[in-house]
Amino acid sequence: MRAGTAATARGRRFWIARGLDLAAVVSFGLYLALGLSWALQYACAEWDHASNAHETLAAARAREYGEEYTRAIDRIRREVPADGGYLLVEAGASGSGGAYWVRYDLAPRRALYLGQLYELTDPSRVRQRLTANLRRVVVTFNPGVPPRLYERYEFMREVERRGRELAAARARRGQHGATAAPPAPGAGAAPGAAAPSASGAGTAAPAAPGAPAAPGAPGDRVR
Amino acid sequence: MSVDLSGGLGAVALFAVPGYGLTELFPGLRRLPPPRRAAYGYLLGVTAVAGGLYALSHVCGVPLRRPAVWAVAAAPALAGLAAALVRRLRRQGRGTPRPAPRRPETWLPFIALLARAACVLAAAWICAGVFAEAMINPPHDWDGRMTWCTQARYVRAAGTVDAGVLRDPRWFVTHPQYPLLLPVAQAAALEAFGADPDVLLPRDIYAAFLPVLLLVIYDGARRGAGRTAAALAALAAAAAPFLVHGEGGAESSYSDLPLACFYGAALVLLLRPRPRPSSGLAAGLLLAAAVLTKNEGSILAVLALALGWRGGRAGVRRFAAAAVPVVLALALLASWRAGIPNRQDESYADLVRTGHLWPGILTNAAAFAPVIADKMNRLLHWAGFWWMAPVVLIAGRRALRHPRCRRLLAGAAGPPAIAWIAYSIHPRPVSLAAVTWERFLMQGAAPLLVALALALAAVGRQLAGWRRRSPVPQRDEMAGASPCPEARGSSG
Repeated sequence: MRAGTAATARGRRFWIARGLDLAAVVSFGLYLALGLSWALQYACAEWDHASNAHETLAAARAREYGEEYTRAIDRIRREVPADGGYLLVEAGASGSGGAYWVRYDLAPRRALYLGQLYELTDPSRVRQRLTANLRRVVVTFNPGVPPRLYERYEFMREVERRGRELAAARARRGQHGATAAPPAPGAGAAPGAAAPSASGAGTAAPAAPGAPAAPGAPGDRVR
Repeated sequence: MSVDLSGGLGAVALFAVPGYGLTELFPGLRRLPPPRRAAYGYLLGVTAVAGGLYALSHVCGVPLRRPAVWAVAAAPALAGLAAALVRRLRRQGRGTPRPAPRRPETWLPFIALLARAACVLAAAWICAGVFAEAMINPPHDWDGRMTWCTQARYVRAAGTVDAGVLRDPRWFVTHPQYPLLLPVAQAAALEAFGADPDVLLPRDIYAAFLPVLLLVIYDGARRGAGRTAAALAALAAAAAPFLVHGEGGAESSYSDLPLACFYGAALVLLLRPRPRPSSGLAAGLLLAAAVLTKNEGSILAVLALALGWRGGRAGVRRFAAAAVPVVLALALLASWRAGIPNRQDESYADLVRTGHLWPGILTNAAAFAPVIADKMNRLLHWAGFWWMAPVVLIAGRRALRHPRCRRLLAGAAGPPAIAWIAYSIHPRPVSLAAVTWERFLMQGAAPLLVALALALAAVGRQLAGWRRRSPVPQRDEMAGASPCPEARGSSG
């Protein structure tokens, strides 16, 4: 009786083991079928693309990063020597990567990070952060949006103007006793924020990234 | 087309040729068939050329310019050539060598042969697709542009690994203390060919790590699992979309795939049945490269040394041969880092000191475990690999009883364990897990896939014996012959 039970248990274990073996083979086969079909298709597409890619390196960069962006990078490269440096300001969304990509494209030029654009409203604080004597400021936006180059004095003038506007807005709100919260200074940090001069209206009406600058604003002189 | 085929091949050859020469000095690698020997050669070449330049630049102040790059690349190539000539002359002096005893011809099942040929073709096609992608597209990944490629440009421009931009805390550099082996390799390739910084040839250096990984997996699995299971496991690696296209895969400029290769290849060499000092030295060089490739490479190197430990005089000699390059690499890394102020980086040392490890190792898990599960379940990233692998490993569990398989699994668990600890102490574990977990999985890919091949082979044997067996096991079967062929020949 006991021997019969043991034999039954062994038999059950045998079939469970065989079931597992089959499950392993089936799952491995399914995995290979799925993964390989994608991988081989992708490889075919890449070869097709490579064999038809009659483009220069500049064209490849323009295709990958965007034409406007590549043009802006090339202009900044011409303006800032390879052994020089620049002040980096991030006007795109924090963590969007825009500042990193510009820094990579401009390397080996050294970058001194000034911070997020929306933080830069106090000229004295900005001056405290200027730990190196650099003449150029590069403002970056979200990925794909061309960066902008400013002379430092233009940028500082814009920061001062934004600071004055913010102070005036706060004073107005104080006079009217408005209960509503003041507009967040971080408006410029949201995706779609603009360079200080590009909007021509400070934080009040941020323009879309890459929007044409208002005449007479430093954005006109963006290279 | 803009495809710079010669530039890309030249960049790969800059490391592959010296590395192939170096394999001549290691009998265990020299006897391998050319493709597998070339795979180890590429890894040793990156180690020798980029690692050599790293050390020479930091310790001796040698400028990272074209003469230094060519000299460092030529030295191992010439050493290998000289060793080959000496060996040939000695062999001639001894007369014609006795032909190796031929194994009795075994009947090769046609299906297995066909399966292996299909595996080779499919893997070669996938690797070719990666090279094609690398030759036409500029870098488009995140960390590659944020850290590795940017650092390579700084190093190349300065002509030293101690670039001023890294050592001056004012400059905005993300992860300035990350080890620079791969950026140095990029800079060396560009400098050797006098290339424009924008050219795409450094991308081929990274693309070459995919076939290397596949060949290392095949080499590690072939002895224990047989050629068909080994080829299938290598193909399974090539079929995992994340290993090819993921952030950290072969199409990116991250250092994770190179680290997976260095760590995996070293483990394969250290877990070979016969402990030889020469294979220990080769493994040690690869582990030294792992130390200089990524932060976690130091921990993985120590883990690999521990897993490769064997008793007896031969085991100790091999361990010593492997440990010496690791210690030297750790010293070089510490010395190089000492001059670089850390900024824009997670300071794990400080986080551990402030006592986040406990109870974070338990409490944080509730936060990041769902992210981990979600990442592994993504069909587009893994094509169901993490559903398939446990089933195969459980089905082939008899193979896993072998000590070598257990060590391989422990080796595969190393990188995810490091990730788990990092998430446990990090103030934002969810965001960190979301961007790094899959890369840690990839770092342990080689030992996992070798173990998977052994399990697959066990499943194959079980299925082959299915019809012959009855549900009630026979006496000899209950005696339990080891499912792992190696178990019969070695003590693990």
